[in-house]
Amino acid sequence: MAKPQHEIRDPIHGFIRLTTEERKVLDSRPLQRLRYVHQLAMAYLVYPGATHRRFEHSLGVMELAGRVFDVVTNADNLQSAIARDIVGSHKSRLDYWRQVVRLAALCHDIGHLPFSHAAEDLLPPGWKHERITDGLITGSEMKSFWDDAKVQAEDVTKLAIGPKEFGPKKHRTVEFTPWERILSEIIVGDAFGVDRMDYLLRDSYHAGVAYGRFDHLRLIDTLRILPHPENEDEPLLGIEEGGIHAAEALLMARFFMYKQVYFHDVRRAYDYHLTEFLKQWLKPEGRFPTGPTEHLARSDNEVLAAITLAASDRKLNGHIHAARIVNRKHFRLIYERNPIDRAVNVASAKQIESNLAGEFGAENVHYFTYLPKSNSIDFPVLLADGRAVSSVNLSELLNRTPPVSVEFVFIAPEQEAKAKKHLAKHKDEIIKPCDEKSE
Amino acid sequence: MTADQRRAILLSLMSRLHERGSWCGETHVQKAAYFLQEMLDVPLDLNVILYLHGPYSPDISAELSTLRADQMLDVVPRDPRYGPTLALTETAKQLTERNPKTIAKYDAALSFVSEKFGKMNVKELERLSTAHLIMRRDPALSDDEVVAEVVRIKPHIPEAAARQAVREVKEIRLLATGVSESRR
Repeated sequence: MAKPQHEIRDPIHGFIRLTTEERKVLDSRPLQRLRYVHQLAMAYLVYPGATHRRFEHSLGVMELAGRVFDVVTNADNLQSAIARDIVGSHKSRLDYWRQVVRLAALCHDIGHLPFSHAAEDLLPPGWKHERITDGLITGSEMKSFWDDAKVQAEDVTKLAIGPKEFGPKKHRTVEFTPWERILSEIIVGDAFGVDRMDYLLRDSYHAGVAYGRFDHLRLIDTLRILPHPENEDEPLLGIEEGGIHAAEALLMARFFMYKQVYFHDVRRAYDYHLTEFLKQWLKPEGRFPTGPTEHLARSDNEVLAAITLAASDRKLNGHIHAARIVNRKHFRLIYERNPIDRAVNVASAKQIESNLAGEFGAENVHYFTYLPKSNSIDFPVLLADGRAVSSVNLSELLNRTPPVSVEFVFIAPEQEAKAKKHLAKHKDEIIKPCDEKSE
Repeated sequence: MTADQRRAILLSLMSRLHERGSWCGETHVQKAAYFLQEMLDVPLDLNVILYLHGPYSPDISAELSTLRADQMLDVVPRDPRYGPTLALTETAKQLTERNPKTIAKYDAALSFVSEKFGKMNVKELERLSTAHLIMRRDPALSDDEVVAEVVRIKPHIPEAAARQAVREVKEIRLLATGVSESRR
């Protein structure tokens, strides 16, 4: 007789328990492949402990998603009328939706390419890893698992990907009910998505960077379905007032982890060399294939083996960048955006990149930018008197913590000394603003 | 349109919304940008989905975060019953001043949107933008069918309010056509 519960030890959450149906999904090819995809690409070259994989993160997201579902649907936690309405109208199928939430959480990353986000630019136009995830969940590869678990693939994919990755300018348009929006928010939501909670805690643990820790147990305990502060007819995921400090700590954890780990300049330099290597390695297309068979056949293992080979053989595609990775001859940071220069010219980093490329050759210069994708500071908070108000009215910290945004200009190590001298002499002139009139 | 030009348009739009007395929270900016693209044909290249309060663009949300990160926007809490106002900083002016041709090209469209929608609250904007989105996605629908669809996807909107929204959208759309054509 099949064991009804399976247990897996996890350094972040203790024991993660699965049903037999969930275990089957975990044992499927798309999930097992994640054992060989690093969570943080080549960040382990900066933080040696950061060798963890998407596999354990997926388990962690499933565990947390189940916990959040239990909290926000618990009858004792339905303080707002909108929560009572929306949960009440799904009362007869709560077990079904709990299963969908956990499976969607488990599968939310199966479309990731080798080395996760680092290689995302090498997908064909119009493709992101979410689209591959969608294809795998709704395709033939996983159909039997959904049948066994008695869930609809379309429900799983909607919650795994979320409404923002569908639409007229995306690969397909899908309509979400308010209930489905809330459930997908549990997984991929900007403010309290468990994807983010797990990766902050896990990345922090493995990188050895304590900044990513926050009181996730308290935060999860205070999550509630609440009315939107501007429109009481729309449900949103928010918190009880007692969770505000845990929410602030989550925001700060995110801020510092982005600054310290995700946008560490050396890590970004290695990402650049990895991407350039992959472009050569994937010739003639220079892009990753998107079909399920080809996708499932590639993980970090194949890429790392190819990098090792190419690093020592000049004739192999991608030799230059493979050698830079293996021999640690990565590009060096020469300029980073800063408030003083940006007060002079918001495009200062771009103008420096352009100038350095002209002086030292485009092949010796690399520009990297990250622009924030969401604004997670405004969410409803349930006060002791029963009112739901906007979080920004309660927390100065939320208001004043800016989203992380970075711009780096890198230079080849062979040109570093000359480029530093050049910038020291000419920077003020280079960053002078130019507008549409002078173009 | 470059990323800087798109941001300059958004900042100019927000500046005009403030002048018209708008609360200028994220939802107000979302809807004004939606109308700018979908009714006035300003090519902002926004992916628009049906989300909270009707049409919503994750791209606008990302742009607003970028503008905050660039210290061009401040989040200003004003009243606990509502979300915050987004206020432009001095740095924001630099970006709009650097893109005078773009602002001039879409000046009439920006003025039109801020004038027509600047004083509306979130619920009014939700009704009108949802009705407009449905009409735009399927122009063959009759008024009754649009009303039925609005009520189906936003059950909290009463039928009479949905019907009124369809009438208002048609009137505003007619006026907007003149503004869009004058740019061509």
